[in-house]
Amino acid sequence: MNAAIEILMNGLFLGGLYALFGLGLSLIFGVMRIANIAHGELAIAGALALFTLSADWPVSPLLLMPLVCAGAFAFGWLLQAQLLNRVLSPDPMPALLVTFGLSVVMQNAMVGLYGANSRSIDLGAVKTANLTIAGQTIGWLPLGIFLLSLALFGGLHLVLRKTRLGRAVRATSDDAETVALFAIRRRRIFAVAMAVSAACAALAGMLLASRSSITPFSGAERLLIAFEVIVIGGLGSIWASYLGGIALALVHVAGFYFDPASGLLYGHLLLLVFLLIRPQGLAGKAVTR
Amino acid sequence: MTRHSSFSRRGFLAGTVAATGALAMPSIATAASKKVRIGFISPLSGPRASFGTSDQWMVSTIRKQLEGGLNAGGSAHEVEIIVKDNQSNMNRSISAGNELILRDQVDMLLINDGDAAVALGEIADIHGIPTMSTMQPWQAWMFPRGSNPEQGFPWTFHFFWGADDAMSTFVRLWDQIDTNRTVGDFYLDNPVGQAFADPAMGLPGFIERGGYSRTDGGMFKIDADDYSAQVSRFREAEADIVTGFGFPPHWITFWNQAGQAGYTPKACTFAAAFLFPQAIEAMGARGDGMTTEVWWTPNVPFASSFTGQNARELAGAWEADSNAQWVQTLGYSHALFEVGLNALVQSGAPKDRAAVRDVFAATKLDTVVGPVDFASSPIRNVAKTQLAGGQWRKSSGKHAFELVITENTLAPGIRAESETIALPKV
Repeated sequence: MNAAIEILMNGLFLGGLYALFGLGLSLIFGVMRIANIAHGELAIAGALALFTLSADWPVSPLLLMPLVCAGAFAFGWLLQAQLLNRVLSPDPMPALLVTFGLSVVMQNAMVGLYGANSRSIDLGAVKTANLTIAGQTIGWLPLGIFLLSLALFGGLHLVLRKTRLGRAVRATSDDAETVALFAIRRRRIFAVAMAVSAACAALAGMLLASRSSITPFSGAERLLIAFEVIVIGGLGSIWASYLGGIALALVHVAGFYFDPASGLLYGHLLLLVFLLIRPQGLAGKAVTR
Repeated sequence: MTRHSSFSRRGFLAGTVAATGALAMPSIATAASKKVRIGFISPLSGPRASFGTSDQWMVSTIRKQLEGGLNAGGSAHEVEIIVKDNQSNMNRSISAGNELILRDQVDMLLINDGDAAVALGEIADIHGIPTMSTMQPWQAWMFPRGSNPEQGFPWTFHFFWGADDAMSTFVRLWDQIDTNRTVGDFYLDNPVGQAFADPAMGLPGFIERGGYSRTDGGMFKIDADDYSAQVSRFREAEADIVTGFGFPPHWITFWNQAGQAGYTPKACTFAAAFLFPQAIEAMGARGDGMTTEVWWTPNVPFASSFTGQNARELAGAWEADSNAQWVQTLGYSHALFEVGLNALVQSGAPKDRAAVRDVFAATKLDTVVGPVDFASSPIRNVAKTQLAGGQWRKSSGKHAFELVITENTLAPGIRAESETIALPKV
């Protein structure tokens, strides 16, 4: 019983982080129909940028996180406006290849700049602080990461549902060609989506680096997690990513508990099961075109 | 109007012949030269790059020392060191080794990486290249290559301590602390991790024979993200000691989750994770008190047979040039060149591969990591080096943490600087 509660809690906490990794990727895929292979590297670059900043400024890294997110937002915007928009075509291949190249370049640049060492963001006492509820010890950090990702999903949900920009993004996602008839510049919408996605990735990377540790090579593993999250969750709504993240993390944590040597095997099996019996994912709508 | 082309058939032919002759000349000259070539393979990039951190620097200092040539057999030989990065990758190791052997035609291979030494062992044996390697427990170098201590290899040699030495050192480290003698252990699922987890030969055997009880945390995969299962198991068993094998990222995640769950063991000795000061610094204040195997520190009482520098001077030179803290690999990376260059000198004929190989087999040299003794080693082609145990302590000096030697049973030449103490309850 105790073990079950523990697995459930740890799964939820890890799921929040997984969902955040999936969110950025699913946003890009939903709006532009391309997969951003450099998504993992963007996350790691965010975390490394935080290292550089916190080395110079003696304030808590928590306060610097919004700054890095803003930087990532700008970077994502420029990336889309200056690079990816130039190669967009009905064929998804050129854009995919550009992001693939970008991921290789970014990874090697990070190894060159920061070396191959693993690093962890030191949040000081917050890192191991805990509270006890009904006999269960819960760490503040994983709880905080979970709540933060929940708040972020909520915020993004409101933006997409209630604002003009959000409506434009959703419309572009539905039919980018027709949207142009309504005087919406789709390239701009693409840039917004990429900017938000990059900011989410950077935040996820920073949270990952404070929860565990990263090396410049961690990006590829994270990309795999992000892909699994959106396949399991499905496309169509941001909450699909959330469900996907939680489901994947629960399976991972339970797998680690009952069969530690299995690694991520059960997560991959879950992915396979979904591809076989419910390819549209947990919350996705079946795509007919 | 006609223009005379300066490019005639006859002119072209003459030029080509001349150019071919000119190109062919240097290779004839090379074949006849006395230049000795050393091929050096190290993980300069990739996941194991921290093991090769000091190698570029080491090669440049050795090159400087060799500027006037190496005196062997009554004459000075020019020595060229060709450096190849194996990118911490098995396939890349093989192609780098093949290039060195077949294209550069090196006279000796020095390999500063366990995986590369295993991958290239057979190739070097087939081509008859005297090869010396280090950086990995000798068992992991010898057994995967299908040999045993009686049989050995024709051309390849290795010096390092043994995995069993590390494990017995762990138990003696814990003996110094007052605990409830309960150990929780978990291991990374890779060849070295499996060796550490072996019920009889590995840590579980040492734990039980040492009079400790054991809570099995199992094996985990390299991409594992969550260690709450191990944390809760160890906490329930009230394990005062945590051990196993894995890399810094694994340990840091585990250690954070342990803190969040309120689990506070008294000793943590996780093989391979606590070798480098950067890994300890990444844990912040909670890195204080981690215990580890110690290959080499600036405090060992040994000196280089090649430059005469003692351990402290070598570490000082590295710290001055790199602005980084000394690393344990520094000593072994230097000793590898010591052993290699010693063989070239002692052979009297550095280009005579069989002579150099025979010197390797008979080497008995006091290096900066201590005695490297192939001559009287019971294990063929292997020289066992000394291994101590130590503890990372917070330091108010130049570096955030210093490694203090607390256990020296297998390394009587190294002075124990302090006793192991229980982890602070952070």
